[in-house]
Amino acid sequence: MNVMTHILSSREVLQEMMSDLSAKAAELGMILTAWDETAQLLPSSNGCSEFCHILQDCKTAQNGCGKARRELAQIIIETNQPSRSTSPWGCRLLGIPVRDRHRLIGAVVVEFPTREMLDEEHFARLCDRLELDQRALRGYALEACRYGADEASHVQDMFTMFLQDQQRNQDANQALTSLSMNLAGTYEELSLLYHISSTMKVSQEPTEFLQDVCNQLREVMGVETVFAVVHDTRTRMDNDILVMAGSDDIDTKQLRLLGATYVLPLLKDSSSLVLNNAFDSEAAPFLARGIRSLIAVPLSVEREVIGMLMALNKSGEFDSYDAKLISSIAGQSSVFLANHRMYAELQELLVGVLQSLTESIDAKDPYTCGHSRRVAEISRMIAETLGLPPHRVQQIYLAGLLHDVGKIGIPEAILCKNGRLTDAEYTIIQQHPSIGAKILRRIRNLEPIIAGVLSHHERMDGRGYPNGLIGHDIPLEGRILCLADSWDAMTTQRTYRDGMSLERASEELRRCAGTQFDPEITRLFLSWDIPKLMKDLTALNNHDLPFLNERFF
Amino acid sequence: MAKKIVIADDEMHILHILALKLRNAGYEVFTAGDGEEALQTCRAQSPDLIIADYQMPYRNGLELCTAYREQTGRRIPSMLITAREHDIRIEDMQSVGVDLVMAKPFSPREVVQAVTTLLEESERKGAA
Repeated sequence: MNVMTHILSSREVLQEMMSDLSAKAAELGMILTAWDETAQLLPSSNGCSEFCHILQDCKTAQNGCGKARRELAQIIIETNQPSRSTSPWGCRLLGIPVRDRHRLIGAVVVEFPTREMLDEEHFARLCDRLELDQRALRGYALEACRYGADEASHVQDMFTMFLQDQQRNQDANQALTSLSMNLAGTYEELSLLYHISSTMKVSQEPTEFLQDVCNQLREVMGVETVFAVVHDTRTRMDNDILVMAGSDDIDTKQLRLLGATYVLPLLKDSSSLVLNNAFDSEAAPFLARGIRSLIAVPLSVEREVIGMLMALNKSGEFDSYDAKLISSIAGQSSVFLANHRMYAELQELLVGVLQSLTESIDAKDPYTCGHSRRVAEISRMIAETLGLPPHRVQQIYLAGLLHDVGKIGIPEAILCKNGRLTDAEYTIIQQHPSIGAKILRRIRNLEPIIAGVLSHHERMDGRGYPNGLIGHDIPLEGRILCLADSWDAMTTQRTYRDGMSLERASEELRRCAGTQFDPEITRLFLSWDIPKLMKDLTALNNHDLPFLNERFF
Repeated sequence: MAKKIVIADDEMHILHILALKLRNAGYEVFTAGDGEEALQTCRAQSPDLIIADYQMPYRNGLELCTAYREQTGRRIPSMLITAREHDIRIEDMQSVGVDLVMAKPFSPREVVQAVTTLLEESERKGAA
């Protein structure tokens, strides 16, 4: 059974061919020996006739047989031509050169005893010299000596044909193995490209995505290390991303330096950089220890190079197959990074708009400058302490920022009135949650926060507005905002009164827990270090909105 | 003792790639070019795992696995590697006892990994 798993060496090729040929030779009662290009005998198990066995095993004959064969093999190899000779005992030897494509890789020597050897005189002399018994040997000899000496040329032709068949077989097998190996490699690359395409989800973090890319690429390319560096200033990444798959020995600082000072400048002008003997190249001074060869391609977004993908240390040399594969993967990764950048910029835009909205609310009523921001911060902290998932915490934060946006629809005369409000004026102010909800309904992305904005003036006992919801019918966001809003209202200075002391405000919360406020949220809030909270809140006022880096839509 | 695997597919290049990779991984591999030859090879060799294409002359991959199981009573892990993934119904797979289906073009590396995993699991179940 042919077990071909790799391209064979010439000795192995020879060995492969011999097994079939030996079998044929044995069938015909002949001895077959194979010799490599240096006239070394290849090991073989060749069954042969008793007669030949006896001749071989006989002490006096042994060296003679082997010598005759080797001499013939040497002639074949030197002349690269078939040839014939006769052994000292009269056996005919024929030799055929063995070629792999056009290269001589060895010789085959076929030997058979002849009928002429049965000639009485000849036979007697033979047995004499070999000190063997004539009568005992005669029987075997009759069996073994099937052919005449003159048939040697026919035998030679026959074996030459066998050999050519074998060689054709070998060639075909080698071609098939080579093709299969290549095809297997191509299948791997294809699988990799399919895999990357299908796992490119925009919601994935760049680090996660790039790690997967590096891991897969490393396996398919068969290199020691693959790493990626990305520094996209437009997404406000504080540090650049460096992701690596493979051996940890390589110094990442050195890698960054190599990238920044040597590789990236070169990649600005060309699509890839291949260095097969890195030590002998211009890059040598920048190389980290352990880098023998490398291939690098840029990662670009909107024609700006924001990073690179690099593979290090292949067992062979990097070639155009590698360059095309890594370029393709880099291309897909760049698309991913471009999308990520777009999303980041979109988010920045939204946050900017929200900031404007928030400031417009505060601008309306200068005495409550910063109120929305403080309510947002308190609500966010409550939500976090309650253990809500990150996206909901963000939503509550936003609801806090925008809870009073409806006040834009309230006349300034009422909003900033110094004295007590009349019942009519009070009713108008009570519309601000509904107005706020109506305004925000326009922005589809803000849909999750509308419930909070609408219900931030509802009361647990049902005496709130606009809908008089009771207890847990009030959305959690509303209950949280209600407490935060009231707390800030009590503790800051208003147009018509000064702010309450912290003790009085806390007492007020306790008093109204269950009626106005959710008792559990109240308990949670009052368990905090209130003075510290107030200090942190004052520090807030002068900063921009913290960058919302969770995807809340 | 090296584990034996029989691969059946009427596409010769698939047989060659898989045989190459699996032999390199240390398995003993027998190949067959159609469903009937595959069944005979299985009966002769008693493999530890069968990899079969779905569409083949004489018997398709599912029929091969079914026939082998019925005729010998041996329940061995099997996987289909096929371009006709959409034609195979999960019920058929489960009733026949095919453990895994992979679509072509496949990653040869993944096939070798899958084979290793299936054989390990089967040994564990057998030992349990």
